[in-house]
Amino acid sequence: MPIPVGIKTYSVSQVTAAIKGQLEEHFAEFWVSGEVTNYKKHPPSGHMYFTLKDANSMLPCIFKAGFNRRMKYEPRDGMEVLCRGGLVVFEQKGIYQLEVQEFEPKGQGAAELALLQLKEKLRAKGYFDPARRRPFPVFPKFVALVTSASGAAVRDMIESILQRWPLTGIVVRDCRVQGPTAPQDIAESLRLLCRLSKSGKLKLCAIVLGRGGGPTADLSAFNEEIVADAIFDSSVPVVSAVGHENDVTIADLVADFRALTPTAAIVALTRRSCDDVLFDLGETERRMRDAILARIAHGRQRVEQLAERPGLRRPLDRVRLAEQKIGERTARLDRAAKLLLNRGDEKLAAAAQQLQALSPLNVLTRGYSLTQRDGKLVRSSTEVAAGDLIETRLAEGTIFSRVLGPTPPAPESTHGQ
Amino acid sequence: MASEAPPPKFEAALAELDGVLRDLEDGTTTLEESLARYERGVALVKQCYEQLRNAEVRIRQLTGLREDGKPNLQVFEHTSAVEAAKPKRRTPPGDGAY
Repeated sequence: MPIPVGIKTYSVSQVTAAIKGQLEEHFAEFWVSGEVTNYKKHPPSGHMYFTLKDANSMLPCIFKAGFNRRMKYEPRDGMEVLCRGGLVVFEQKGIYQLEVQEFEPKGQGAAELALLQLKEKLRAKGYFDPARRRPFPVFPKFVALVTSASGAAVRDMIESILQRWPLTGIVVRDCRVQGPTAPQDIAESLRLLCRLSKSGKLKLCAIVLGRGGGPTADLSAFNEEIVADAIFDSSVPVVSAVGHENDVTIADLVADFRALTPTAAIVALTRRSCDDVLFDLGETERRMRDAILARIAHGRQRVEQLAERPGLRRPLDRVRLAEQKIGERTARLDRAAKLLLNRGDEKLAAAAQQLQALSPLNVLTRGYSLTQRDGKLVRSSTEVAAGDLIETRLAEGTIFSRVLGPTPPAPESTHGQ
Repeated sequence: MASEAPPPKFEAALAELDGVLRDLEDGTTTLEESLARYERGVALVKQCYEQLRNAEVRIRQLTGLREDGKPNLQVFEHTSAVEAAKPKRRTPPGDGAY
């Protein structure tokens, strides 16, 4: 079929260019809602490709790296979304697509979705495992407070420590808790404290990560992955005290202990307060006293029991008993001695009688006599000389004589004895 | 340098006190030993009271690292609305006569 004369023809490029001009002008910026399908990410460029669809139509989309870089979650097929952007015609292929500048999931906010996805990821990595949670010492010696040095949280925590356990050493690490630099600041502070603790330069037993509460508090810093990583990696037990009862942050989930308020964090850290300890010390003192008094009373009772025993109670009893025994024995000895003496007397009498029988005096009674000179018995006439004085004992009496002269003894002469 | 944590005297004293109390309440020691244990216990209790009474609040701010890698700690100004707990020594129950 010949082309009628006078009809103007266009090249493909001209048509496409015309379409491009029209479309891109009229659809430069708009919001469109649909369901994500055929989602793909092109790794080298970082561009995301997907198609938005509804029951009857499809709209190809490109979400370029420059725009999607700040996305905290990944689009997924089936996700209902709102996208803002403008139409772009891709001349070489003759297609148009939506160049997305903003991507907002329907139903839940982007931040909420990001949080949900980060939680899933961290849970899978074991960040929330309750078995990881470490206990705190009963008496904290040195704790770090990572929070804004000018906020109410730091004041509350310090006052709570002073009241509950004033022996605690405190180091404050001033830190932004909201705003774009807060996550980095928090994470770096945690890592710095852990390094110092590990090297022994600050012997920390706990780190409290805190901020004051309030209904409008921006807690997003505590939901950041770098903060979660820093808590997870912390060699020192971490208490999160983000001060927001209704929202559980990721920091709360990773921390060793979650406190609802900064003050509650300190209460958890100082399990036994000064008052508790003072009370216990008083109790200990009382119990020690009771115990020692009981011990002394027991000792006293023992002494009294001993004193009650006869030997100690009437010590003279034994002496008297001994005396009595001695008395008895003395009497027996006396009797025995007397008996012996009596027997001795009898023997003596008999002996005296025997002696009597042998006495020379007895001989004298039979008519014999004894002659003595100078008290010596004269047995021979040679023992005397004329003129000597001699005495002669008779049975009865004594005769004194002077010798007239001795005669020599005759062989058979009998001489007095 | 205020970076050192207080020595763990307090906990050690409490632990020893527990032992003393156990010995005393067991009643298996001789009277002399018991009296010695009691004396030790009273000294420990006193030491604990002293430590709490003399507790000095040490608050520092970590501002960074010094060139030698040590923490740079500065006094942290804290104006407390509440005085730090300064326990008074309690008079133990009992008339003290024994």
